[in-house]
Amino acid sequence: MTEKNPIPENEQEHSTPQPAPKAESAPTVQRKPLQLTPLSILWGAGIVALLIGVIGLFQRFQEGLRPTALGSYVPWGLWVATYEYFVWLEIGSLVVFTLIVYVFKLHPILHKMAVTLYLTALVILAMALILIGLDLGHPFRFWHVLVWPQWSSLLAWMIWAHMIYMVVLLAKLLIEAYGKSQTLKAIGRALSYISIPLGLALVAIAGSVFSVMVGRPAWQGNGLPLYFLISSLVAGTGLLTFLFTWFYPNKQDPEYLSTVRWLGNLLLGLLVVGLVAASLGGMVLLYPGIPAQAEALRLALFGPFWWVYWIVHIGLGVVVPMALLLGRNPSSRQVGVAATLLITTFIAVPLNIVIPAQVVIGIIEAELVAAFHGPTLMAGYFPTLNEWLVTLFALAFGFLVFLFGFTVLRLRPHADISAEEASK
Amino acid sequence: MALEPKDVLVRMYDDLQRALQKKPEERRWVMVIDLRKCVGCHACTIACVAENKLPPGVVYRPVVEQERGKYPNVTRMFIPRPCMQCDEPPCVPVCPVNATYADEEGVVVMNYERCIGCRYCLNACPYSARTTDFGYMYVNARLPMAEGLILGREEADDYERAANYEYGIARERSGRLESPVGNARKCHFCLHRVHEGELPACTTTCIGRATYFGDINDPDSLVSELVKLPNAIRLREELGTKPKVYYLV
Repeated sequence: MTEKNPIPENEQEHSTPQPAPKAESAPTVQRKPLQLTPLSILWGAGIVALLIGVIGLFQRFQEGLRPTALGSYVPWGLWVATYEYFVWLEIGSLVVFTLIVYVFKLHPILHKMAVTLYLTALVILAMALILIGLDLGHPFRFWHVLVWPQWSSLLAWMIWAHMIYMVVLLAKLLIEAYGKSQTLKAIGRALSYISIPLGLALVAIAGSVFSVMVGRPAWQGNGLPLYFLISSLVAGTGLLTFLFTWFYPNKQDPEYLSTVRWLGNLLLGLLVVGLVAASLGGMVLLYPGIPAQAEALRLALFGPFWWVYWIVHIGLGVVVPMALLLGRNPSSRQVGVAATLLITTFIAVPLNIVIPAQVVIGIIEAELVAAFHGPTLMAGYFPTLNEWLVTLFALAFGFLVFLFGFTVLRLRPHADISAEEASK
Repeated sequence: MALEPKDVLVRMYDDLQRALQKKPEERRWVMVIDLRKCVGCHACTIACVAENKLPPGVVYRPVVEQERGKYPNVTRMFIPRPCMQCDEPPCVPVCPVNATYADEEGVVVMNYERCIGCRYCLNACPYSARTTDFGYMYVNARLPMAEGLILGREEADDYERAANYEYGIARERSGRLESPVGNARKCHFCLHRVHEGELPACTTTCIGRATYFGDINDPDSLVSELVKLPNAIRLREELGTKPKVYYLV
């Protein structure tokens, strides 16, 4: 079989590269050697991570949910927990930011971070929707919720609220980045005010999705919506502090360090509130010792994955950040490290909320689990490689979009704008 | 209970024919399971799997085995657990797309084409009566070939791919990710059989005559008599879900 030349014959003459006549007098152009800048490394890492993640995505579409560790007794796992965490991050950071800058009018310097924060929140929102979409048995039927919503379902409310929030956030980002007129800025401010109750409602609904389920006694009750709100504020403050500390362009700004410390103190205070709330909730579950409720918490605290709670969450996510923040005058680096540690380890919280409450069926209804065997009738759960790969895909996708927005679209704070000017 | 004048199966068939003469909204299907008669043979489970051609990992009617006491004073108890077809089903209002609902006869059914596979209903059911179809097949490359025999990989494959008739709709199992793969699945009291005048597969298969089915709105039906007995209970009544599956204990 002869291969066809893709270039038509009449064009070949022109397309064939002709050897250039040597002109001795012509100046020699020296090519710059390819330099590995930190930015190019970040792009490269993001693309590699995305390509690795695509393997999981391909497998997901080829084989459905079979390559996951999900089953009928543990139907929600890593992707749902990560979705919840992303909701906390995106909403919490925006609510805290809007409260500080617009409602209480504190630290106007923070307003310079608006465009970066909106970009980050939008990227996190996209990652959340990717993961929750891929968690569906029929991802391409997501539109059914928009066409045939059942309003008695909190899940329908959650998805609708999330969609509306996405539109509001996108509008805020566009106005903040490109809106020059006073009218647009006024709309942006109005949207910011609207986003506070809308965001808080979304987080509360996300918590209520779990708390209305009589089938899972460890979730059921009125505590989770409140706990979700507190967790969202903690995670969101962590994200805001992270962004401001590391991405604020003018570290010499006299307000910079004081604002960083103020955010550090806020984070510390919210961490304490979160700890108290979690401790109270935990004690209420453990004290009566009813297995259907208490066993899930015991599993999280002392089960095979005890280290997720004690080392990842409490150790790296609470104790170390608190130690860093408790100093008299912590440096910006200390605050930044504390915030970084917090937001990278706080995923342990939704994981410990979502998974043990389902896995516990293996203890409290062991006979049911033993009654019939099948590949998805297991009470245990640990994410499979496919679940990690798909999560990596979502993270890499978000990272690359952020990088694109930050570097190419220049959606980042500019040091030359004064705080007062920015907040107008 | 006194010896029935005729086999309970015959009586239930008569009850069924009578109920089918009524308008659908006038009948209310219930199931009664006599735990004293259940011997734990799992025939109902297998009959259900065969009738609905359930794939691996999907089960509508497991039989839970409980062991009580300490050796040598031990007794065993068998509790078939179909969907309770609750009058106040916790799985229904949580569905974000209205893909599961109680039909006019009070049976909680699924609309596979509407379901998005969020599995919220699985977590909401206090009886763990729902399972998800993840698309597994019994027949796969690991199954040995049995040349020259009636049964073997190819024949089993043909059987597995042939349509089932849940909800009266023929659905072949192609091996692709088509409904009901990716959907929540549950017991539906074999409505496709009932509407044709047949009892649910689990009821006809029960070797101990421990499962009864009929219309509770018919005062002359067997199930109406049985649910009035003082030893008739329902699971987790404290939740107020009002199951339509009763147990005689």
